[in-house]
Amino acid sequence: MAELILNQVSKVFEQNPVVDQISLNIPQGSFVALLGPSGCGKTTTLRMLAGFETLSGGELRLGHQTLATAKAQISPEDRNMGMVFQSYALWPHMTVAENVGYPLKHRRIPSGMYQKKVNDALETVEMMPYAQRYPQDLSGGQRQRVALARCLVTDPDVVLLDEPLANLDRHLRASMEESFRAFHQRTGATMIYVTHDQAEAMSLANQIAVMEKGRLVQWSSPEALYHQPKTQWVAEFIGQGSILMGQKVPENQTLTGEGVNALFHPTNERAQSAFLVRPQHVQIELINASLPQSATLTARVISQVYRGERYEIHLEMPNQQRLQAFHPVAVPIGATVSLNLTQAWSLAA
Amino acid sequence: MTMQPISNISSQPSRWLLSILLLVILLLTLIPSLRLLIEALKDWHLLGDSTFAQVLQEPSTWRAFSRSLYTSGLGTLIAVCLGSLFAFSVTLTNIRAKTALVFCFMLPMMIPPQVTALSWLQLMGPGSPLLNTLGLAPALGSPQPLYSAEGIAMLLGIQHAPLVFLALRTSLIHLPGDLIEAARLSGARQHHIWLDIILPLTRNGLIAGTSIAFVSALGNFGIPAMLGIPASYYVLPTLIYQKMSGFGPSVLPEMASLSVLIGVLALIGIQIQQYAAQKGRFRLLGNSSKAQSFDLKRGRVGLEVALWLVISLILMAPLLALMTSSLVPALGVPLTWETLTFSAYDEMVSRQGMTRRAFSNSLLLSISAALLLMVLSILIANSLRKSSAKISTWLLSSIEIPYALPGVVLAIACILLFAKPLPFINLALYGTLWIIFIAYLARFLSVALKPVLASINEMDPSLEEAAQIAGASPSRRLIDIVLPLIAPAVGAGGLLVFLTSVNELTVSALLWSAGRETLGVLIFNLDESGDSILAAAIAVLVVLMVFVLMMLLSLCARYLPKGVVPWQS
Repeated sequence: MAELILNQVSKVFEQNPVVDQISLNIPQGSFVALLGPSGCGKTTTLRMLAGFETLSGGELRLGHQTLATAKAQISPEDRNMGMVFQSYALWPHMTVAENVGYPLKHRRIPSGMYQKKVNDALETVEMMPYAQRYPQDLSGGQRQRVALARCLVTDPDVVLLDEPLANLDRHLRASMEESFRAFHQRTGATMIYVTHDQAEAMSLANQIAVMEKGRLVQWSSPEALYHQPKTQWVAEFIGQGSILMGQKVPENQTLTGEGVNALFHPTNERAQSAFLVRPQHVQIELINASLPQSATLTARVISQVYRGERYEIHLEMPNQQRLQAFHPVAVPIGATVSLNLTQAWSLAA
Repeated sequence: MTMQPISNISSQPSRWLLSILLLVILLLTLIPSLRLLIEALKDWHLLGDSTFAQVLQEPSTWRAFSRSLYTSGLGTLIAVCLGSLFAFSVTLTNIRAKTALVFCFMLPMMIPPQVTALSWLQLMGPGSPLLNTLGLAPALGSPQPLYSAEGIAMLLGIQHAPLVFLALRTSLIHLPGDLIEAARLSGARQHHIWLDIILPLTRNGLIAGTSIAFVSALGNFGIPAMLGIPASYYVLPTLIYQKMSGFGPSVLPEMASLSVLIGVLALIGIQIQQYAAQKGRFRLLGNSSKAQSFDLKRGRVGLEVALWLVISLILMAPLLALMTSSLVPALGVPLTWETLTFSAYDEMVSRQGMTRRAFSNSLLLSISAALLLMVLSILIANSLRKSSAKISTWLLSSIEIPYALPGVVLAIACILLFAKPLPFINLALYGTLWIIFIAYLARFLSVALKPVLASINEMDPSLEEAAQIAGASPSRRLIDIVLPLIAPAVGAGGLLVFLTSVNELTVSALLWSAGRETLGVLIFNLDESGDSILAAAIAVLVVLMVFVLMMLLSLCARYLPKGVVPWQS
């Protein structure tokens, strides 16, 4: 086991760069999410890691071992990786136990160990009672667990997961996420997880690679990704929030305190920097028309959505900029509210 | 762990296997057609005096040509009427017992044409044992009404109606019910729904079915041979047969020219069919909602009676006549308890050495062809999946050629190829079973391959990738993962090959030699020499065998991809 290194990895399909010079150093034992909208090249990247796709350029290494270059590569069957497919890819003609045991048949293991390893793997995912069933008799979540057991049975160096929760309902996703987290803690294997669902990526991974149109746009921890997005695209892609134009300030700064409101003052004509403002950093208060106006920033309520624990309020400022806020109670549509912005992140131009 | 150059990896399982397969396919499919073309055109420099030009100048050529067009055209018309009646009734209405109906309707397609012809001959005419038994036989000496162009056309129509049915049903099944419901909500009456929705959407299926029925009728040999030759009414395939058996290999260049003529005609039909089928394909992607079924209310019983009446006319009656014929001592004798005899069966089993030989020849040929083609189609399908789209389209169309061309054309091509001993190894195949065997391989490769390809394309590629990442080598993946999953389709393909080749007549009629006769040839020869009773007895056995095999296929239909068993939906 060792560090997994992607060095300028590229893939070109019929002259279209699908993956464009991606470089990542993935430390051993980390849980990495490849996150991006469909068609961003994340699945192709994963398939290059597995060896199902050849590289058009760059190099792929596991520690000192070169896995693949554009000219030569180690074939998937020799890489000691595990993979969980979106469709589970369980072999319908084999029982659960046979499915899980199949990777062992291609490795030299002592004869007595086979059954023990299969049982251990099934125990881990709590599928022991179903060992003699066939995949078609299992539910979606159970199938996913079997697929997980199949890739853990050989103690792989790297486990690849291709949108493993895409076919499950919301309730099951939460419990499967828990299984993945437990699996990762137990095995300590490096896990690479492809998803288009940012919430999934944030809750599972300790490092996230955000991809857009084949390029790597940000490589950071979930917290950094949320609070310090590198581009406007990432800011809009991750979490909820509004992009506001305001007074020019240095890029990539977290701004807090009283001064934040002043950045967006309507009389400020030199609005040249873009800021990300999260809805939890927007406080609103209904303005009583009979009282004298003291607030510097105001906005009109356009619409609101009830989200259970709070209301999501959509606002428009006098200069037509729109933003979002959270509020514990409903506010009348069309009402004017005063704004207090507590935090903003200045984006790179 | 070792690094492998990319060039070795991209062409798994391995380059040499693919090359060998390509070579085998090339030998089986393209070489015979090319050889034929060369033979037909080799003296082209003589222009007007070349064989091809002379054949084109002969009045007999054009007489057979126009007769081919007439009988196939009329037959196709009948096939379209019958096929669309059944397709529309079965897919769009709520009639009962659809499976049984479809099974019975498809039977004529699987029964060899010479048996169909024989049973119809037994049904009609003055010697008919059935009509004699019922007291309805026309006066002795009156002509057999089937020995005519219209007789040939009628049987061609019945034989190929299932093809129209299949093509039409494919497009009807994918006609989503909500399209019709939407039309109804828009205020369309029944006849508008037909004119504006159903017919336009099934037009491509109808064109495809019509052209494939026409091509098959054009290449049919059994029916025009049994019905036309006694009346000296020759169509192109029987003309070729007649000249070949009359003059032998000396007329080969002439026959090659005739074959090219009929081959071109068939290819045009196939092009139309493929074009229509391809244009119709995009609809399959659409809505998968339940197909429409009109509630016929009180009209249902009427339609059911009508459909079963048609079945009893085109299937039951001739088969009954065939059976009756096999049980009487001589033609013209009515079947009663006194005249009932199994002597024909007795003779078939005990005395006729030729019968036994034909049975064992046909079984040997068809079983070994089926087995070899099963293996070949597994290998081809497995490597096609991994090769480029260009290669696979090219291969698939070349595999279609020997199946789509009329059997006579392939037979002539094989004679041309193997008339002389093979070069280098000095092996003479002409006059042995081998030449028939090779012809069968070429002709039925497409039959065996299609179900396997359908099955392997239906397979989720990640199933194999999962095995690869589990550490399985290409050959282990084929054995452990791919093979068990496509096994039912492989078996079905093999069974279909067996079913079609064991009764095959067209190819073997030209390629057989004394002691090397096949079942199809035997029935044909027995009938030609006037031994209709014995021919009928053998034909009854053949029908029985077809029936049992079709039932067997029906039983395993559940495990097969949709469309492998033609008569199951």
